[in-house]
Amino acid sequence: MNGHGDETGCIIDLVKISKTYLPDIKALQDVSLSVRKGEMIFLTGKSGAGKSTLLRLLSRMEKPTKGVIDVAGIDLNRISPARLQQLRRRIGFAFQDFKLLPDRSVAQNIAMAMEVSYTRAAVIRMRTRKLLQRLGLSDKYHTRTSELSRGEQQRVAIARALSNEPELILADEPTGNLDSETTGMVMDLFRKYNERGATLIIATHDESIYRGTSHRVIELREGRIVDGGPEPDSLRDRSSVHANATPPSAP
Amino acid sequence: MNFLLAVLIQTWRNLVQTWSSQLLTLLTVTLSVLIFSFFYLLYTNVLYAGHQLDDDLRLIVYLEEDPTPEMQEQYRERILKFDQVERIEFLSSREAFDRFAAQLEENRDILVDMPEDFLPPSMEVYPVQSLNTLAKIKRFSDYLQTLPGVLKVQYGREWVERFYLFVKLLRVIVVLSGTLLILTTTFMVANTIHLTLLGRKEELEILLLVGASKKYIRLPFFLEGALQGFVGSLAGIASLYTLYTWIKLRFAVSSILAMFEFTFFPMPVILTIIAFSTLLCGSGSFSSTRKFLQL
Ligand SMILES: Nc1ncnc2c1ncn2[C@@H]1O[C@H](COP(=O)(O)OP(=O)(O)OP(=O)(O)O)[C@@H](O)[C@H]1O
Ligand SMILES: [Mg+2]
Repeated sequence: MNGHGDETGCIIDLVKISKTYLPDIKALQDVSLSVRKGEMIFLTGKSGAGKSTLLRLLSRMEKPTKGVIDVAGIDLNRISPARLQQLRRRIGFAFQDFKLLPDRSVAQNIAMAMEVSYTRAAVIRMRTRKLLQRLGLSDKYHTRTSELSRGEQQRVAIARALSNEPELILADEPTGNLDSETTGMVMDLFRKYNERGATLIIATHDESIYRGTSHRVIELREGRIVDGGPEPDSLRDRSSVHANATPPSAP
Repeated sequence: MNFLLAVLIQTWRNLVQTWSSQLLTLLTVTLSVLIFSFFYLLYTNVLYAGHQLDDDLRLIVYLEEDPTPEMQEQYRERILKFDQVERIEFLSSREAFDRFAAQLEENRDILVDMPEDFLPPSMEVYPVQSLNTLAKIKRFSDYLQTLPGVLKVQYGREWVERFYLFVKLLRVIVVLSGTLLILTTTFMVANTIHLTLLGRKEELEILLLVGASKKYIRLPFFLEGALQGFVGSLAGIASLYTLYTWIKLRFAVSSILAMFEFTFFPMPVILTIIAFSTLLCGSGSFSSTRKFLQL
């Protein structure tokens, strides 16, 4: 179960992943990708290219039709339910559809992600206030999320994803409903988490947030990676190993 | 915040959120416990009354003639050869007459013209406590019948038989109602939990996505069910006690009920009923989450 990922500094290792939805929608085809710990990656591509699918596979919301996925050195195809829940506590996922509970307050929604790690109530309150402040939502602490605008809901979803100090942050279209100023706020926050060591994968159409970036930009087109962007040399080597179809995690 | 506290908070939230269906289930549990324990209480009391009756359950053996002391000794020997008895008393014709007269009190004049030996002599056999089933008494009675000089053996056969039939019937009712109520109660509790699960589908999905452990999700449901079982059985027992006290006050002084000494359940029985109900509801609720969560 414990793979090579940790030793080589890779937090994510995808080997020839395919995902086919019924009846015959090929959402992802032969995708191989390695992500180093502490990297920040932009995942781009047209609508329907498979960005969300890729992120969902990483948190095991779905299983790949083919291929091997390693996250934090754990083979997701063979992970036990208990280990999966453990792993998910280390991942912060800002979902494209937010997945907020409409009848609960902003604070309660954010708290859920920390409560599952049995964080102390005082710590939960403190972190929540801090995040809301950084995202310009200080006055919404007690507001029910159903009463928020789309953009505000989106930021609550982001706050929840960041709240548990995750090692891996998956953000699906995190700025889709935001103006440029708020987008800047969110990206600043992401950068801050990245500087503190978190790995980020941001799926987006919003060119403005990755234009001129020094980080890797990966483009998906019809379920295939067409542009891997600037890839660190060490990783390029690993990818070629994958291309030769010798999954290192095979028993 | 530790695990237990987190679970308790989660449980409390759910109780508040779904209080109306919780209340309905609580009522079902209470009623079930009340009905079951009512029959059970009746059963134990009747059984107890039966033991009280056994105390003065005696076999009266009517004899042809007053036995001489040697004959009395012979009877005693032969009876003891068959079974242990507590005591044997001989009653001469004359003594029987006196006792009868005493029983008649002011109406004793009707005996004036009767010869003093018109009642047969008898011996009264008090069987030991172990002779507590109808079949055993019957066998004993048949044996006594075979002794020489015995006219007739009497033990209030009809009454005793009816009594034992009643006890048997009660036993069947207790078992049946118990089973039925256990089934309905578990069904109701599981159903409430199922509704709760449906109502909280979204929340549970999110909890799974943010990495909540199995225990963290399922334990609140166990606690919820257990709480219902606990409070429900407590309320059921309390209602039964109220009913019991009321009946006792109302009827105990007059009527045939005064004959028996009614008692409530002893503490161990009460605790067992409560513990059983708590566990049953808790585990019923717990197991209904398994399929739903597919954990
Ligand atoms: N649950 C599903 N069942 C069937 N098909 C699906 C499902 N989810 C996604 N798809 C299909 O898979 C393909 C990829 O979808 P995905 O959501 O990954 O795209 P995306 O890149 O995230 O698009 P967008 O930018 O619009 O969010 C699409 O053709 C979509 O219709
Ligand atoms: Mg998407």
